[in-house]
Amino acid sequence: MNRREFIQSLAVLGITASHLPTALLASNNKTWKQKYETALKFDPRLIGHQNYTQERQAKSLFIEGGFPKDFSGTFYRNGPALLERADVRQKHLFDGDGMIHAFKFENGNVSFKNKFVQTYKYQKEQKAGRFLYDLSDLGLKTPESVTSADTINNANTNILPVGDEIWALWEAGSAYGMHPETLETKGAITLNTQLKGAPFSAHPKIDADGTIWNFGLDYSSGQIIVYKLNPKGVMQKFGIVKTDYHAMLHDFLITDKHILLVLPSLRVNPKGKGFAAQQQFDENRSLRVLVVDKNDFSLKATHEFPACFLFHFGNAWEEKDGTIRFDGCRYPNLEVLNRMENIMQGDTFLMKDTISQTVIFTIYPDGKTKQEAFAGSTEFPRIYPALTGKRNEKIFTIGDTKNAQWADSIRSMSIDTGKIDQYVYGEDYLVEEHVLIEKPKQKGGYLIGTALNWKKQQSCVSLFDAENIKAGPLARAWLEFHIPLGFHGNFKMS
Amino acid sequence: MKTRNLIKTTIALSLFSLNILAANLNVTIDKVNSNEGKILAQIFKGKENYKNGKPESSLIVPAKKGKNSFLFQNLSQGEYAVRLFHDMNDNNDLDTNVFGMPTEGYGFSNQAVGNFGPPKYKDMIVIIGKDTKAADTKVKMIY
Repeated sequence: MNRREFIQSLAVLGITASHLPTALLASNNKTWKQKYETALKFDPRLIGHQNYTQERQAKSLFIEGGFPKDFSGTFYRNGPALLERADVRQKHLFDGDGMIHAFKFENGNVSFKNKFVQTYKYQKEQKAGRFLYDLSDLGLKTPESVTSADTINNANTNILPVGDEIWALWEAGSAYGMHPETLETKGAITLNTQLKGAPFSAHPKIDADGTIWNFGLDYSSGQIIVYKLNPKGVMQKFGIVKTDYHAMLHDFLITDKHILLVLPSLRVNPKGKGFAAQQQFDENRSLRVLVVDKNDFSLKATHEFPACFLFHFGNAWEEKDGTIRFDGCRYPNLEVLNRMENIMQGDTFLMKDTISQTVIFTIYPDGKTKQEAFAGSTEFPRIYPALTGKRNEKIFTIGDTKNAQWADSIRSMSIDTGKIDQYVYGEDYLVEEHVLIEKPKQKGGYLIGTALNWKKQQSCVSLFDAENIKAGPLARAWLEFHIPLGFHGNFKMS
Repeated sequence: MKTRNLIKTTIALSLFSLNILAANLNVTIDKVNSNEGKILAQIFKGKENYKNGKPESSLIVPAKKGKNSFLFQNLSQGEYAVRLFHDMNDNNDLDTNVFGMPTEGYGFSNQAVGNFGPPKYKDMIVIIGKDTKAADTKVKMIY
């Protein structure tokens, strides 16, 4: 939604533009929380970022259509939910405490449960009844010291089924193990004593044989730890890749032979107050791709692309001649990070630089590189899980077709033909990440994802035929309430 | 000088000299998380010695779950800092992860705690004054 459309929508609500200066703009003296609450009155879409404290259950969700008989399992999602304590509102969406939402599909029925990850931080602040750690210039009077990354680990980014547990993931500290049925937190996971408290990113990649690969960046030293775990989450080996990179690093890639560590064009400004405020885009710094051997974790090559920023990658693979290709959702700069701060104070005005688009990056054997950008706004790229590290034809993303505040649509795109298969949820919906599920013993698969209908103030989970998205959902299950907009999730077949 | 007087004077002198030379620092750790292993503590006199890792003296005390206290004795006048760690596996080393983050409990005098890094020397100072006989300092154990 652009500014004009925003004002039009206010007119629909019976609010004239003359209200705007007093309501929204002349709010400099207001706290972050007051600004958000004022804005929410004018823009109900902001409900997705409302402070959320209640753990809930629902035995049987209202279903539109019918879920296929062979469809059985649990869809887990993670995202920041607790955003306020004692009248203080977090300034950045990244700083909210993680909550796991589980939709369980069984014999055509859908049940629901959500619970907070009982992190060290959550438990300590819950007991105190206030925020103890000042993550982004909150102005707390007596903040507690941050003695390690896990002190402030809010486990709010992704949730991954591993063995007989689910792991709630952040990117700067330990994973938290949880029970897949009860969602009770077991505790921070130590893969071995040498790795206690080491960063474990929120975007592990899983090979066809179930091997779990991941990375973690130690911001102070610039060293990147690379992990190889067996399918049950037991450490096989790890290695260290030394870099001069100290800024945010969210995602990575694997091929059949290599690990790709893709370092965006960021630097750290130590004067910034809080993690997000310290991240700075540097247009003179290339995007760098570190090609690391999967066997011995040695650095084989470094390639460069023009300056840009990416949170997320879909997939990477290598062709017979050694050409490496990977895709990602590319931003021209880091404005998107500011947007996630602006939205916390209710500012929903979109800046054009906060739109990302799918780009295919190619590295030829002679070191030459190429980028191809595809039209349309895309984020949260996913692929069929079995194709991880192998050639994929389609990339599945969410995006917005009408400058939505979050996203309003899902699509798949063929990287061979550019053909798009799209479903637009519409303006009433804020659409979240959609995840691929392979159909047992047959081609194709399902695409599953959540969306928040801000008019109804209810969230839903929808299932699509991944090869015919435009046909709309096969089935949709509705909660009687809404859940906060989150980040990533995964499906566990049962 | 009669013997009795000599004894009196000696006692008086020794008491006096104790007053000048020997203050005790009582260190209290707020919370040790198990009975395993031991506490290894070092006391440093002045910033230079702290920075160079040259302790005035060191102590080993068995770890006990909960509050722990021990004494550094015979300290002369000056500025001190204490650092200690809970050697849970008895290998006489502060174990760290691959990035150098301690994986065993550690702490500093004056409840000094670092924020995104080690604490500052100035935050852990304990002063033993000219007339100090006994001083106290608390340590906040960080696991």
